[in-house]
Amino acid sequence: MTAFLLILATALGAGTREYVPVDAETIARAEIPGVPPGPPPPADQVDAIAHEISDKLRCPVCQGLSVADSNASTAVNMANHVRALVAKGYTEDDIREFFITTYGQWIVLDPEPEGLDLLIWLGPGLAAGLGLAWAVATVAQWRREPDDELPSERGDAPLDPYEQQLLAQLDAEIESDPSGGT
Amino acid sequence: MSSGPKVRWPLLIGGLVVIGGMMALLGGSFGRQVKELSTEMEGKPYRQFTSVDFDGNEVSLEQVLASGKPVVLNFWSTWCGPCKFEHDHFQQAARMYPEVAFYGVLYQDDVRKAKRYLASKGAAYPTLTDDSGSIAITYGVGGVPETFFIDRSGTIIHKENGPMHMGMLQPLLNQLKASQP
Repeated sequence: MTAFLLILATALGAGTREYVPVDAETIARAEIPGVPPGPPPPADQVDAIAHEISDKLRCPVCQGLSVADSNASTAVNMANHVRALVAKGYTEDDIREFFITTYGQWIVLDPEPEGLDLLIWLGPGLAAGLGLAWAVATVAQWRREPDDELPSERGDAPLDPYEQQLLAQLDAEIESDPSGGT
Repeated sequence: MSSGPKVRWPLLIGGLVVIGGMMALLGGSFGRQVKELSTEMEGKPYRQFTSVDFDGNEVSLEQVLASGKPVVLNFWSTWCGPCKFEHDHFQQAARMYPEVAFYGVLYQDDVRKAKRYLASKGAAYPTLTDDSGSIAITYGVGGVPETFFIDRSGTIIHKENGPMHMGMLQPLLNQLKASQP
């Protein structure tokens, strides 16, 4: 039971990694091409900004987890690297650009709408548009089609032998019972 | 005679085209190899870093390149089977190409274990420490082994994801050897 609770607690805690302070060496070694465009943000905002950026980066060794959500060593290192860069004054755009030019577009969880990735952005709208067009066309077609009726009722075809037989039976029944059965 | 339900051919064909397209996209995505995705650094200039090797010597990539030597950076670890496979090939290559500066970069591993491994298997070139993972991140390393070939002009001419043998190393090392500053 204890083991089960331990496993459950570990599983539930997987997405809530506790941040540890970035050491001076990590900060010193975290470099990206170019100099920071401005002064670093206030120290008490660094973690929040870094978390927001890490949340949009894909953990390269995980399945569908962001860097912020993963406990993998690679993700932890990347999160620390991001925090170090934020602490140096690099902006979200700088850091995002650094990771894309280093790992490729797949490293971001919200890829730029270009190339094949454009489908991710256009696909749902396109599908909804096509569906709506199909629905409108179908309704319009229904409105154009006359109600279901026998060809003979539309007057554009003679009665076939079976219809003639039915009609004769109906006439005979009406004649034999003019009251209509009431 | 019953003619059966009316088939809406345009709708059927359109639906099949849409579903077929989606299946092709999904199939293509499943077939993508992660190691094929991360060659983003190829053709780009090297990225500067400084580190220390196992003997405590400071190494600056900029300074190594300034000395006129092309560089091979091999990210490895002792827990990585393919790294062990390629180890002998890299040792042999380093001896065959003294004009190329080889460096190992230890990836997410214990330095003591790595030292023991190199003591038993041989170390023809230095291995650098990367405790914070900064060098690996700077080069877009997602796993090991990964190897970068940087020519004399400082351009990363090739990034190999996965183990290498002499047959793969030689053409690239010849290319590095022939490169101009």
